[in-house]
Amino acid sequence: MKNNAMKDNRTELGKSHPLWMLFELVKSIKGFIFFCIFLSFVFGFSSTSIFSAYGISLIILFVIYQIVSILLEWKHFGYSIDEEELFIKKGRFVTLHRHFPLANIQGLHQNTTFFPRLFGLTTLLIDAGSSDKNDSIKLEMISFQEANHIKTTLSDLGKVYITEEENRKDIEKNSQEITSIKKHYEIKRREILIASLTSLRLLFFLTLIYSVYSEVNQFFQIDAYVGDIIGFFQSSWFRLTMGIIILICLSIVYGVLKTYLQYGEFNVTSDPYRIYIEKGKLNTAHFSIPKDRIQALSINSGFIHKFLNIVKVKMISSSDTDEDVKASHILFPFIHKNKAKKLIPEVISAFEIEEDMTKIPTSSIIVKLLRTIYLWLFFPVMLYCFFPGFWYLATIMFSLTLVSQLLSSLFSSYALNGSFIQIKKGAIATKVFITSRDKIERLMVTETILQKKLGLSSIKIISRARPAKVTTMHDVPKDMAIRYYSWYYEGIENHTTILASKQTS
Amino acid sequence: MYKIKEPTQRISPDAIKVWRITDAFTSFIFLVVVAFFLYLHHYYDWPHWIEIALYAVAAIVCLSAMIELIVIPVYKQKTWRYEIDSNCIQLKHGGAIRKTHMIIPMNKVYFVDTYQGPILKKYHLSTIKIGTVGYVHEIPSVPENTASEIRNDIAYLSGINKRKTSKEEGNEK
Repeated sequence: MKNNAMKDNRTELGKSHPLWMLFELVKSIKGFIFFCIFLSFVFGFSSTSIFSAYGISLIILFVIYQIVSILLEWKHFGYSIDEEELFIKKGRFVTLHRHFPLANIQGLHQNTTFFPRLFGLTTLLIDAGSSDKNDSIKLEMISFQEANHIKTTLSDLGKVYITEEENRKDIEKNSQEITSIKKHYEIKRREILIASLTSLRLLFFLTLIYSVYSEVNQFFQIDAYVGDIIGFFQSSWFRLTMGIIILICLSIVYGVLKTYLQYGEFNVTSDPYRIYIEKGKLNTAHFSIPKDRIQALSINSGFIHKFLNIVKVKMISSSDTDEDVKASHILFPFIHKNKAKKLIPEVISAFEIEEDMTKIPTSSIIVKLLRTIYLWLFFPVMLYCFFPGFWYLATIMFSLTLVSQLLSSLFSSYALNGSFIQIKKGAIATKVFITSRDKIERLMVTETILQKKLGLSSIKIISRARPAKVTTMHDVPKDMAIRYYSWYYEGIENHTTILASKQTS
Repeated sequence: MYKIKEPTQRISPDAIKVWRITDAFTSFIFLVVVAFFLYLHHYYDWPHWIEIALYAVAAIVCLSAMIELIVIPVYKQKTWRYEIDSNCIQLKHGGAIRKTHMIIPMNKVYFVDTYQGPILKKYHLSTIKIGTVGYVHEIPSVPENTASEIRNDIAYLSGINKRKTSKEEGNEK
């Protein structure tokens, strides 16, 4: 078989495509240019320190270092895979050899950005299941063929299942698996449209225009022309409205396009063990996560989205994340609340959503106000005394904190449903956090002197994620906190007895 | 009102002395630093307000040292409780002002250490460090022998639980 051939030629390691070097170089040059722009902002553009002889020689040294290190990194990088392990060799000046047992591999993420795709190249990110962040394996710029080979090797082991179109046929041979893979959700054009219209991308668009303008203005004197353009639109009401309409249209187009490219083709499939997420139009990303690694769910809803009942569902998990794939823990980017409620138990059967939640006592407002006294009283007063010019900032801060605390004491709620804990925070923008008893890493119940007088307690839940996720719920009734505590204690007891009985049987 | 059951075990009464010594030491270092700045102030003729600020800092350090030396160690020692059973570790600290109860399941413990500095050693005490996701929890000032017993217990219990869990996972796959 192919695998055996690979094993025999152990010395022949898989490598990244040579184009990788070019991309890395472009990336580092891009970073360098931004760094220069940043420097010129800090030191003022008039100072030509970068362009002095000293500066130029530094730049040349830097470029040489970059080229050499990229060359070495490419030269030293290699990988091979057989039935037992994945072998990686990497390093710039010091090379590192590492063997990852395939049994430990937890997941796989395929990320294909636009340009590499033109050359038929893709990037695989393999979650080796260790807790060290540096241990995630990144196979950059390998051919689709190689990527598929690795994926099939892993899927043969039952570690990873393939969801890509070209590999569907392979799976079909395996009739057992095809029945278990189920498609749950595919994003609709309408959802993208609504989400992009209601998000704050409009503001982003304006800041984008402004930042482009100020960047360009650094190099060319376009002040006068821009002034002329603004003058043109301001000269009559008709032109002004036209101008504003054009601007709004452009920003809508920008928003829709951006959202479409980011979340277009977003779909969620799953089999009994894993969830697969695909997304992106230009830069595609494939992501899979084992179901039992999902520690908690968080369901968030922003200000405008709340009126439209649109929520964003995020998974909190202990599996690997990489800077490039930040958004991949989003299960549903924007979905109608009811649909989410229907789909979540379907996708992750281990999670249930409780409708009936109890609100925290209103007396909590006293504790909440005292807890944030520095935010709504001390800080604004200080600001007002020392910088009277910022009186508006002080007022905004004062009213915002006060209102948010008031609303949070009126609308925060909690629930305990079988082995699930559910917490809802905030009123204008809400955050719902759901986790199950055996996923909680530890539980803390605290009580301050004032809380004691009012019969309240705070609970803190620590979930396993990178970094550890701490969810605090302030001011639940004390009885409830005690119930949570004993509920958790009993859960641990049950867990251990079940394990013990399993071992004896 | 119904209450969370207090963990039963207490920490050593000598903890008060240990905390007093270490706090006295840190306060002393703070004062030395302040004194050094005062000296610099006289030497370089710094503006007058710096002197005022330095004296204010010194006063605060003295005041907090008084509280920290006399009241806090006693309060901390009296309120610290812990309990370890075969399933979990329960910790409780703080009393009237701010009380914290914590519960750590055995199978979520990643490592356990005992630690002993020179002052702890003098009183034959150890601190137990329990490593969990994102944080290391401590049980301060436990008698040496008890500490190493507890450490071995936790290591054994958490290790067993982990092995069981991995076995279970292995069977499922």
